[in-house]
Amino acid sequence: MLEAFVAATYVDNVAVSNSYSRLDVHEHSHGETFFTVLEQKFQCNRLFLLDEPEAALSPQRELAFLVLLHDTLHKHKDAQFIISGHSPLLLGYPEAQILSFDGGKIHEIEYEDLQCVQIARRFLNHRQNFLQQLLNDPPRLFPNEE
Amino acid sequence: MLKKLSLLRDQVEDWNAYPFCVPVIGNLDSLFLTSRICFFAGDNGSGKSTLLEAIAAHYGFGPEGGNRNFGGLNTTNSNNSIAPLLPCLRLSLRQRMSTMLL
Repeated sequence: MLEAFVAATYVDNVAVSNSYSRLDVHEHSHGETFFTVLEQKFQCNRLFLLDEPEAALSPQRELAFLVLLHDTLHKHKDAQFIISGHSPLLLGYPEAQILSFDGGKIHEIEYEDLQCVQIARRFLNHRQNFLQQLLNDPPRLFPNEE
Repeated sequence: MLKKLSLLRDQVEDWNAYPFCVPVIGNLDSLFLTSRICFFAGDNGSGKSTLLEAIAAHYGFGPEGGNRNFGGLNTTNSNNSIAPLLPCLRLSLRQRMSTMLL
């Protein structure tokens, strides 16, 4: 039944690259194009599914993306976002529900308890110690190697 | 708004087959979305994209994204891989949303 359909949009890098031939890709970087597409697509009430959008965004644009999310959610009262990823910037959105897929069962988690947040914080606050520990006692990437 | 996502566990035929062998999918029961913005966070390979893809496929999008006008279910292997999940996934809405397509 037609009424049962819900409008949704599934955006990822590939989709954006493929679908926006109208934008001159020679004059816009991948990140710029991605952002422009998001700005255009978010102008409505819809379910938006985004797979790791941070892959295409610089930290500055991640912040701009947070503003864009905020604007969209306030302008369009039925807009909804489900976003996968591990960016400490994007995950910091204040009204967000965060579901962790770590540990084998999906569960709600607080921002401060996220592994990506804890790693980023430790790295930035204690970079030299962190790297020293990591590189002096490296985890084995290739277990079978002698 | 998409409010609840359930795995109809009695509809699953083979728990050892992909994607049910992914722990978060195999352990999925009901998931409640409480905010209009929900993040799937987790390590690479934890099943975030698998579930997101399944939700997208439920609405008729292919794994490459896009919108329904030119997305749709296609026949690539990557799309087939989540196919067994689709009939077992129930999405519950709080209210109807716009049916306008992009």
